[in-house]
Amino acid sequence: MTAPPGASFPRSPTASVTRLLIALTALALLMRSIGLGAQVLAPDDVAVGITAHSFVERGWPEPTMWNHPRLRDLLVYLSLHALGDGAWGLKLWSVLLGTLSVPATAALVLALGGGIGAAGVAGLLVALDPLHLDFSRQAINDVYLAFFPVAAILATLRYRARRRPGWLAVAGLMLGLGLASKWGAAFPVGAAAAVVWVEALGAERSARGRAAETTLFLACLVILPLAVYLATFLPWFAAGHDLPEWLGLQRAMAFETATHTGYPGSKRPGFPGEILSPIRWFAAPTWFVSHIPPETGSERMRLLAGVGNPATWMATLPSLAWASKRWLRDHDRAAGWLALLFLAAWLPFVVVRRPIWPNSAIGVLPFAFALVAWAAVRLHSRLPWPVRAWGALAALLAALLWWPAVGVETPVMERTVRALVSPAALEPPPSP
Amino acid sequence: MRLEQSPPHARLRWAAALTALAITLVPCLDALGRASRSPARLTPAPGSAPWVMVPDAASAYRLMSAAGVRGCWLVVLTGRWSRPRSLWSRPRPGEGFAAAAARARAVVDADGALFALARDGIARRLDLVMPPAVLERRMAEVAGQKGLAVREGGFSLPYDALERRFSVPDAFAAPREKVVVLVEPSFFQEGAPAEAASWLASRGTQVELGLIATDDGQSTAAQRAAALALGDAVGAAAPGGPP
Repeated sequence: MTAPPGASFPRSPTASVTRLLIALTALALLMRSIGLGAQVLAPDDVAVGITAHSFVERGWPEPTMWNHPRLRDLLVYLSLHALGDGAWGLKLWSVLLGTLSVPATAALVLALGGGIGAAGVAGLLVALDPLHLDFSRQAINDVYLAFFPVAAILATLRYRARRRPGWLAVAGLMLGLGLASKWGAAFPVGAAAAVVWVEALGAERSARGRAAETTLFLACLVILPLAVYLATFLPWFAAGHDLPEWLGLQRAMAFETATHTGYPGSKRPGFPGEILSPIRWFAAPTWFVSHIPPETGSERMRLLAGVGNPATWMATLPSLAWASKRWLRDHDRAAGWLALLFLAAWLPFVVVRRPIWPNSAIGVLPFAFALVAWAAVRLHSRLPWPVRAWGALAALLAALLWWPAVGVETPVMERTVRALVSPAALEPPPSP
Repeated sequence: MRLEQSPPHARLRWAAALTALAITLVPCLDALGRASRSPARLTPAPGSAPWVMVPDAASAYRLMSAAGVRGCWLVVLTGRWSRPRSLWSRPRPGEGFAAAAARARAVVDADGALFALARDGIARRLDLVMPPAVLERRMAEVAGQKGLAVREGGFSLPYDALERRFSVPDAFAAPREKVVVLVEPSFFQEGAPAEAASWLASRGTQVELGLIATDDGQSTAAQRAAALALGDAVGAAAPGGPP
């Protein structure tokens, strides 16, 4: 019998769990930091640095991604001051949060009752995924969404297990930081919070207890995140704006986000094959190519090609189908939770009618890979050899695709990338 | 497994503390915003006219930038609309972001001045008042653009996070706060009030500081003369002189 989610949260991690989480974190950090200082900056990285300065010092959220929330500017501004204007100053937070998303995903699987084996596999899948790795080595903030929502859900489950209000406040803080990265953080956390809230109400015997529970949820998971989100606009207020203007800004951001088709001078929608409908993220190779203009003395455009590991990404939807079946037929709660979290993170992108860049898939990955890991470990007891073959293929692809994601070009890697990525996308982009 | 629930009063204490914290933050940020507006730093001494002559919009930008003006509501009376090139600078090797930003500030010209005023946090909102024929041309240029809201005698069209209202003089609604006004000579053409200062006052505009440009690159000699006449009429300080 599967333990109820949250209730399986160990009171104190066992030595094996601690060792697993430390090993995953170390592996993820190593993969994300090797050679980072020498990696040439992409145009997006530079734009992030300029925007951090512009927003923090003058309250102007330009030149890139003005319609997204502003936590990235605050963090990058701090790291630029601490570490200088190079790669580490720009990318420290992506490396850190991308790294932390690995143990967080493993801990999520554990907390949901998936077991230490599935937790380890889930962490490995995130740690080694080339597209996740690519975004962990870029200054743009999409990889923040692979950590904050997962951390918020973990804290919510911790509250479910321990019933200590402080954990729900931690969840609210993480949700606020997630919202201040991108609004999409709300969906998986909202789904998890709704389930935990309903369960918590069911466990209450008195109306007073239910009222207290609801009030606590509202304060921790609505009011606190909104306050954190609001606080990240401090430099904008310091540029003379008042609250009604802030509300106007939020409306403008929402309008732009709902109708967004690209920033002037950046890659445009229709850039061949890159902007897949999110419904195809897990059915076809998904990738993101950064074109780095030639440096002085060189005429060659360099590429950073992050390609989602096809073996693991394409295992997501079959895993979802199996988990859903296990949930509905056998009332397997871990399967139900994993399916719910994945759908809550993924479906909002599926229903949107505008182009969605693959950046957004990074926030869905922890939930996708939690599902895949759970399915792989369960299936391994029935079909060990096919699962091992799949694992070997996934490891091989991860090894091949790591190099182009960090900017190392060799003929084998290039052929692999060309086989998976639209050849047109590897040509220099049209001038803006 | 038996869950150890906190008593209701403990949960309510948490909720109250977090809510109080959040509610306190809202007026604090609002007050910070209003207190951060500092157009008055350039205001002339009491009793003197709040008007200054400047060679062009770029000089107005530099004057306000040097004086540390922040967060003003800028009203621009103009008869032209420029298309500034990108005013962001990628750092050169070994230069750093702060130095690149300083370099971008140094190359602002009259065409890029309005954008630079917004980019540098000097102007937080723009009201552009244009003669009817100019506004009509501008309206034709922006027809169909995302975010365009047309109204009687003008339209609103934000540029990313910057609110911009475009109006003919008759449709101009004065902001409810003190503003900085920039007058460009090309404004003085058919449909524009010749007595710009008294017209602004008649619309209820509270001019904290007025800047009159003596050239804008698209003005005729007659328009430049009209700008100088406005300066004389309002007793503006001489071009380049201290306010």
